[in-house]
Amino acid sequence: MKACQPPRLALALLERCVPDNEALIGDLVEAFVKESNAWFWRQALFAVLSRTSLQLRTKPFLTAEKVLITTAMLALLGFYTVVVATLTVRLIVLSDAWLPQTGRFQELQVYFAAPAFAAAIVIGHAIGRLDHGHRVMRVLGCGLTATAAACLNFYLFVPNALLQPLVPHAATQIAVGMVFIAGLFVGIDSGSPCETQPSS
Amino acid sequence: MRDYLTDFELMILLSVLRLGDEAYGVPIAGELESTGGRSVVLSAVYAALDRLEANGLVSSTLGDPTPARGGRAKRFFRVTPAGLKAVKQTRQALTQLWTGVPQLEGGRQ
Repeated sequence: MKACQPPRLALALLERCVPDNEALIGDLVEAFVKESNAWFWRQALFAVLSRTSLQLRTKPFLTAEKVLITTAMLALLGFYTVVVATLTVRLIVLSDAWLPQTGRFQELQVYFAAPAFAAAIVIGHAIGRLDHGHRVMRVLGCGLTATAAACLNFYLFVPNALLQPLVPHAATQIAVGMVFIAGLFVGIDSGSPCETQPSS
Repeated sequence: MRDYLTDFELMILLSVLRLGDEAYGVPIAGELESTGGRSVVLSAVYAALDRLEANGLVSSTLGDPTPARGGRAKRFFRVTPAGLKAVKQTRQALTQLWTGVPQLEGGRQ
């Protein structure tokens, strides 16, 4: 029988990530006497991955994962929005339709970041309180508010918005928009009644 | 719940039946390795056992902690009557599929 203990780091990882499966950890420790360190590491990593996968499928998203997935989805959505907007604007310009005067407050855009963030927190707080746990309503509320904010942003701060190529311009505006969306997230997390702890 | 077991679930249930009162993680994995001819990940065995237990096909009880396991208890598994029925149903289905296949009869390849 081997006298040495299993790799401490792998064991600590198991105890940290699979704390409720004492039997599995005990089995791995028992079987380790006939196996190598590499075997123990492989078993430990599979156990942690398996648990993480199960958590993702069965439990609500963790905050960090929620932010990552939402950011990826917003980036994808933003890309398609820019493509659709570019095509729409070209159609408007080609049809020689009326073009609104935009960008009257271009010089003041930077000063609007802080008020926009504060406004987003207030709106997000309201969405968080109103949705009563319905994720679809929350997503729709966020999407509509962000879209309205984006339109207002273009109208107030982008001169001749409809005549400019949107693709290079969009990077700046998306960066500005992320401040607003971050504010929405902060507001929603502070306002959702389904995420507050019961008082008793 | 599905009517029939997956091959891995069937192998686990048969291993638990073969081991009787000594059916816990390490010997179950040993049985699977000796019959399957390849190494088994213990967490996959536990994931399948948890699923089987949730479906009422096995039950488990905790044993006493032992020093060889760093003071951790063993989790012993038993096949429930529903589990035994599922094994029999799966065997019946497999036997029906097995019969009448010319390539598998009369020693032909």
